[in-house]
This record gives sequence, structure tokens and C-alpha cells, in this order.
Amino acid sequence: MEGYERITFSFIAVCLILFLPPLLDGIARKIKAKVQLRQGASIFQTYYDIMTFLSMEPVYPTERLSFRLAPYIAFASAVSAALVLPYGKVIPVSFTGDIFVFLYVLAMVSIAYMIGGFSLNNTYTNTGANREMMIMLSIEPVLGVAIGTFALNAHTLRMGAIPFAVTFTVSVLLAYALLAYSVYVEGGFIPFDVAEAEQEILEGTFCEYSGYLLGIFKWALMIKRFALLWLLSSFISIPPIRNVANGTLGGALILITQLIVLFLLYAGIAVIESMNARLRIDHIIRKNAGVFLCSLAVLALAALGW
Amino acid sequence: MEELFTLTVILYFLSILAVLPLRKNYRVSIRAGHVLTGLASISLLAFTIGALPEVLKGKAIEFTYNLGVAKIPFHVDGLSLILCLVLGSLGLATSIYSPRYMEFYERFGRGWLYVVLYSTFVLSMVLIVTTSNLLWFVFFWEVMTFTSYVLMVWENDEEYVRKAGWKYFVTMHVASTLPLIIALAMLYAKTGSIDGLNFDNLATLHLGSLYYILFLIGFGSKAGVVPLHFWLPDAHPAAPSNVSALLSGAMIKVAVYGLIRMTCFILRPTETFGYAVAILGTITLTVGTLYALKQTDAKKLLAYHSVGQMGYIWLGVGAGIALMAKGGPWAAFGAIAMAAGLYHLVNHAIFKGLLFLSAGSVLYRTHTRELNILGGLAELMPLTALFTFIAAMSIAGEPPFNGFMSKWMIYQGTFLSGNGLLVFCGVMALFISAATLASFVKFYTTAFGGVPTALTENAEEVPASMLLGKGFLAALCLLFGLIPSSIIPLLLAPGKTLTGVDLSGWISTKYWLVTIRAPRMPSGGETYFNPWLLVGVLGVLVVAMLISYPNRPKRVVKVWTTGEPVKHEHYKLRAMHYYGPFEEYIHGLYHSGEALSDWGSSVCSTTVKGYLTLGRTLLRWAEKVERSVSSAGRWYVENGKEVYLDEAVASPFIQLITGLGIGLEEVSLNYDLLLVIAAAVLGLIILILVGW
Repeated sequence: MEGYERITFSFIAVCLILFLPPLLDGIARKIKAKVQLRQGASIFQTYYDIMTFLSMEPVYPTERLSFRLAPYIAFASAVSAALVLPYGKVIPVSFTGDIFVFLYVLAMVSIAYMIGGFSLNNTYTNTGANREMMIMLSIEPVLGVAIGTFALNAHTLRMGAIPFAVTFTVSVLLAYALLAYSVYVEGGFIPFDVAEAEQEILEGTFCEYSGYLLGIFKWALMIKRFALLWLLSSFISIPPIRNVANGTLGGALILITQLIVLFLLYAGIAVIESMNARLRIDHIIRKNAGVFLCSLAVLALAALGW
Repeated sequence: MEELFTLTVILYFLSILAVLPLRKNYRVSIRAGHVLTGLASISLLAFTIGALPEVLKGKAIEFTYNLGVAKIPFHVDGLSLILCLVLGSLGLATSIYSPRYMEFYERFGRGWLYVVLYSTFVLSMVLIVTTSNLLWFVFFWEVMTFTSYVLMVWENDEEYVRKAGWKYFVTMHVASTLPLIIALAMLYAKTGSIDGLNFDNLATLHLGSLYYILFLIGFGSKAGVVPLHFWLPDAHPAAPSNVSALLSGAMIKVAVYGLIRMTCFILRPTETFGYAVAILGTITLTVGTLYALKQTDAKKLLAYHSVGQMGYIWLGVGAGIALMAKGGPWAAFGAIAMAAGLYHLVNHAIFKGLLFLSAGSVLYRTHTRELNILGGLAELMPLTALFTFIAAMSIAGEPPFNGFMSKWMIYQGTFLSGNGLLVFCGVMALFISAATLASFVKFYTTAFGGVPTALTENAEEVPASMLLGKGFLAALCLLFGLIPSSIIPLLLAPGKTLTGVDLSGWISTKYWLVTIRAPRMPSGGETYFNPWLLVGVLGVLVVAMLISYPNRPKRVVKVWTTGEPVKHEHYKLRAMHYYGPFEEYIHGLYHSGEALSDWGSSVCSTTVKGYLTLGRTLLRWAEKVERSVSSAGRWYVENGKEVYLDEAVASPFIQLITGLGIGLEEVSLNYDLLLVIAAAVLGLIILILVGW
């Protein structure tokens, strides 16, 4: 029974990781269109886009290996990171349970994006890569404070264990807000999408990618967003039902709650996105630094046990 | 086991002797010298591996060299062995790398002197980390400082090299050697004999907090801890790259060894001291790395990162000391935190050594280390590019390389400490890890990415021996990243000795799986990481995608310039433009840092000036006294009746005393005057003594 449960949940997880992100993107596009009083494309449009890209032979601007392998690395890292998250009570491939390893593996998506962008003599790809790094730099301390608060409260760094062990205090509630903010910024949602800004810098690094390389890369980025939001959704959905969710059925209950929260989060994000315009990179840095300085108060609260 | 150690020492001495007859031939002398230093390093590594089983049982290897006039006692335990491993691997890599690299410096000649200095330098470090007597420790410490200084100013026709060397020399003597000598003198006064300065004897004394401060300053300045780091970013790049690798890779680690040995094994770990070390480490890693972010000189960038990474090591060690002092279940967790710091020590030695050797390779082929004008080397130097990439990802802390494992353990040690202050230190460490990544993405992509520039287009791969030296270090980066169990037991040894706690319930390593438990952790909350499984998953996914979407460039076109005719070299971000907005945002830090560094160098130069003025004044006084005495002597000789040699020498004093006696008879009742004169004479004698 144990084994079957594991296999079933893992299979569902892999399907979710690979095939749900384009649908989420399609739904978000539809919501944005509706908010902006546009008709909008079908919610399956992102699938059609990805499939079109994947069917086309790419044109290369260089034969450099670092450029050619970047999309594959990005894809593999995004999927690997998503595989260590809890789906129900099952972790599909548990090479770790630790939140830092998850974040570092997920960061490899960004690294692939940067190495790909910087390995060319093209100001547009360089600028995209440059901005990606600066966003990461400015949001990392906020994320750190959120994790630090959880660690002080729950005494563990295991993603599957924190939502089960966390006790709700003021600092933990604020840490949720910080985590949500970090996830939003790391995910590169509007107004923080400066690294892949289409109209401004020709989509940054994507400017030189085409065909299935572009398709794989875009897919990887969507999976990265999915992984970040799945982490947040797990943190939100498990604590309220952790006492009732026992056995296989409990696992299924958690999985369904995770999915519902994920959809709600994505819809909320789409609404925020539709009502905002892209920020400038220096504004983003200033904003994140401000959030970090405020977040130190959260850490102080957590240290006091509040 | 100690035979292998003795063999190492003998081989280093042999390398010094072997080059003396070869003084005429630059290349042969360096080659012969490095063959012997390479063998010495292998012997040291063999000693390390051979001593491992004993040391893991908690025992130490003890032996004494009896030199007739003096005895040098040695005590090799886990902590010493960690440093032996670092010195052996780095020594081997530089010994393989250096013969060809040093051709670059042939115009300076004196290859034999280089080998003598190199061997003495490395040997002094080996002896520092193994001796168990404070007097010898300080003696070897000074030998290390002096030889490293001479190696540093090897390129002495450059003004900046001489300046950097001088800064190093003065700072080290004022801020590192002096506190150590004061501590040594005070301890000698307490124990009264050289044998009394043995570490096990010192450990029985009750020593006050002054010693903590002296050791903190003495080792902190050598390790380049902020605010005593200002010499390091100038000094390390000034040396030839192979020496820089040893300076950044090994020498500053010896300071960490000294800190742990003195403050944990001789003094006792205390919580306050632990927090002080952790906070200093956090400040150091933040300041050092954020400064590194804006460097465009390859070696200067690396040197600033040495400061930054040193901060990580101090943070791990400091958290370890604080938690061990806390006692109870935290003692075991403290041992893990200290092991994390030591893990980073080993890893930093390896990847920073490799990075300096890579920067040296670029310098060797392109004659520049300015990242703004480099570019496109990945095409021309593919293996160097690969090794640099491995090292860059290691230092940036990306899995599955070694830098990640140690940083990960440092995060565990700080975030799970249950202490707000240490968690904050961990947050900063996480942030700075991103800054390190930024810096090394820049380092790698500016030198190796893009299209070759006019300067680099004729570059070619460096000779095989240089590649071999780097490849060895790159392999170690992978080994310590993928198989943590190969090193973690050794790293835990010092903590085990200090706490006397069984750690098996807290940390376990099975080939590649590491599991860590912390006190107060909920059940099922222990963290674990299996790098092989990660590599497996990544590998399977990449290969699967490569099979489905094969990557064979059929159509290669020029980059898209939106239709504008732009030249390649005008169409790439230069190193100085990377992360501009971010650097602009934190320019306040740079500004205050510069003010601080100006202040530091002004203090340094004022100290030097003050010392020189004092010395000069004393000399002038001494000269005056000498002149007056000798002129009095001459007067006596010229006017005396009979002159003999002994009389000529002694007569001025006799005359003086006779004269004084006559004078004193007159004033024999005036004791006050007598005292004043006596004091004046005494003062004069002291002045003369000091002056000479």
C-alpha cells in the first residue's frame, strides 16, 4: 500500500510539474485580459506557443557550449527543484528535504539564464542577465529573513516539516508575507519582470534563443515559477489541516488543498500583474532593500519568541 | 607515521640545497626545486592519509626533534591534519604548476632564491600547524611572514608591488607578530621555561581575557578580518599567481588554525568570544565580498573574495565556539558548526588556489589581468575555462560542488542555532552568497565569455603541466562536493576532542548522504542532502532533453543587433558596467570603506613615520654621546703622558669616574644632586642601548 501510494503521488507530481505550469500561465493571461477589458487568447494558448517553439529548429548565434547547454540546464534544475517539494505527504525524489538546497538548485535556472546571456557579444542579452543577477542579489536577504524566522520558530529547515511544526506568532505571520513577497519577486512577475522585458530589451537573454531552445527555456522558467508558488502554497495549505490529514486520504486532502491554494495564488498574482507597470531596476533594488530593512524587525520579533 | 613527516621536512630542505649549485640556470633550478617540493607535498599527503585512522580515534601523533641545542616538540591531531591536507594538496598543485608559470618572471632571474623562499615558506607553514610549543610557533610564524613578504615583492620593478609589500610587512609586524610576541612574553613570564611553553602545559594555566584579545588581533590581522584587512587586497595580487594561490589558499588559513588552537585548546571556548568571532566574520564576509563585486582587476577581485570567504570561515568557527561553550546538547551542534567552518577552510583553499592559478594562466597568455579588456578565452583555452568554471561555481556555492556543501553546513549551524544573532549572521551569509555568485559570473563571463578581443585572439591553451596542477584542484572540488564523507569525519575531530561528546546522533555521513540534527528539532525534521542523487536527477533530465531535442548547430548566424552595424567589441557589457545600479545603491558602503581604508593606511604610515622619527632621534642622540665620549678620549690620548691600548680604551671612563669622585666629594652631603646625576647617567645608558 505504501509503495502504491508513493508511486501514485509521485506520478501525479511529475505530471503537475511538467504540464500544469503552461496552463497556469494561460489562465493568468486570460485573467489579465479580462481585468484589462480585453478578449484574450484561450487558456491553452501557452501550450500552443510552447508546442510551436518545440517543433522548430533553432538558429544559433554562437557555437559556444555554455550558450547551447543553458536551456537544458535550466530545465533540469527547475524540474529537480520542484521534485523535492511535498505533494500531499510524498516527496517524489528526495535528494534533499532542505530549503536551502531547494533554493540553490532553483537558482541554477537563473544562473543558466545569466551564463547564456553573458556568453554572447550582445548588449540586450547581457542586460537581461545583468538585471536577473541584481534582482536575485536584492531579494536574497528578504528570503533569508523569512527562512530564519521559520527556523527560529519551527527549529527545522526541512520544507516538509516546517508547515507541520510551525506555531503561529506575529513574526511567523510576517514571515509568510516576506516569503510571499520573495516568491513574487523571484518569480519575475510584473512589476519585477525587468530581466525578460519584451518591449524594452527584446526579452533579455531570450533575444538570441529561438526554436526549441527558446521553448525549453520558457518552459523551464514557468516550472521555476510553479516550484516557488508550490512552496508557498504548501506553507499556507498544510498548517490549517495538519491535524486532520492522516493516512492516504489525508495526503490526498493536502494535495487538493495545495492545488486550490496554488490556483488562488496564481489568480491573485494575475490580478496584481494586470494592474501594474514594469519597474526600473534601480527602483526594484531600492524597494527590496527597504523591505529587507523592515524585515529585520521581524527577525528581532522572532528572536524574542513573539 | 612521523617518518613520513620527517621525510617531508627533509625533502623541503633538500630542495633548498639542490638549487644552490644551479644558481646559473633559471629554468633548471626552478624545475629541480619544484620536483623536490612536489615530492615533499606528496609525502605530506601520504602522512595525512596514514595518520588519519589514528586521529579519527581521537588520538594524536606526538614526536620531538632533538636538534642538540633545542628540542622542537610536535603534536599532530585532527586540527593539524586538516591544515596538513590543505598544505599538501595546494603545495602539490603549485609545485606542478609553477615551473612553467615562473618562465613569465625569467627577467628577474634568481630562480634559486625563489625556490629557497618557496620551500621555506611552505615548510614554515607545515611546522606552524604541527609544533606544540608556543616559542617555536611564533618563530615559524615570523619565518612565514618574512618569506611571504620577499615572495610578494618578487616583481619589485613595479611601484605598486613594493608599496603593497611594505604595507604588508609593517601591518603584519605591528598587528600580528607584536600581539603574539606580547602573549608569548607574558606566558614565558608565567611559566619560566621554554618547555613550559608547550601547549599541554599552557592549557593547564588559568589565563585572562587579555589573551583572547591578543590572539584575536594577532590572528585576525593575518586572516584579513575587517577592519584589519586593508593590507590583503593589495598584497595578495602583487605576488606571482602561484604564490598568491598559497597566500590566499594556505597562509591566511594558518591564522584560523592559530585562532582555534590558541583560543579553544589552550584557552577555553567562551560564548562571548564565539559571538565576537562570528560577528567579525559576518562583517568581514559582507564588506569583503561587496567590495569584490566592483573590482575589475582579476587578481584583486580574487583577493577581496579571500577576505569575504574568510568571513564565512570565521562565522562557522565563531558559531561553533559559541555553541560549544553553551554546553549541553548545543555542544555537539557547536562541533558541527565548527566543522562547517573548517570545511569551508579546506574548500576555500582548494577553489581559491585554483582561481588564482587560472588568473595566472590568463596572465601568462595574455599578459593582462584587467577584466575590462579580456574576452572570449573559452574558445581558445577550453580546459582553463572549464576549470575556472568549476572553481567559480564552487566559490559561488552551487551544488554539487564543494563550496556548496560547506556553505550549506554553515547555514545549518547558524539558522538552527536558535539564537537570533546567529540567525542574522546566517541571513547575511545567504545574501553574500548571491553577491559571490554575481562576482564570479562576472569573472567568468568577462574573461571567457563572448568573442575574443584584439588582445586575446592569439592566446592559446597553457602548457600541460599547468593544466595538470589546476586539474588536480578541480578534481578535489568535485571530490569534496560529491563525497562529503571523504572529509567530514576529519573535520569533526577537533570539535569531538574539545567537547568530548559522541556526535553520531547529530550528524551522520554515509558515502554521499549527510544528515544533520539540531537540538529542539521536531521529529522528522532533520535535514539531509544527497549530492549524487541530485547529480543523477539533473543528468537524467539533461540527457533526456538532449536526446529529444538534439543540440547540433546547423545554422549559425551573427548576433542580432536590431539591424545596426555594430562592432563586436562595442556590443558587450564590460566588467566595469556589470551590476552598475546595485553598486550605485550601496555606494555609501564603498565610500565609508574607502574612508576607513584611508584612515587605516594613515594610521599605518603614521606608525611607521613615528617609529622612524623616534629611531632617528635616538640615533642622533647616540651619535652625539659617542662623539663627545670619543672626543674626550682623543683629548686624553693627545694630552696624556703615556698611552697604552688598554689605557686608551678605559681611560675616558676612569677619568670620568675620577672627575665625578672629586665632584662628589665636594657635594658628598648633597644626596639629592647625587640621585639626579645617577638617574641622568642611567637614562643615558638606556638611551644608548635602545639607540644601538
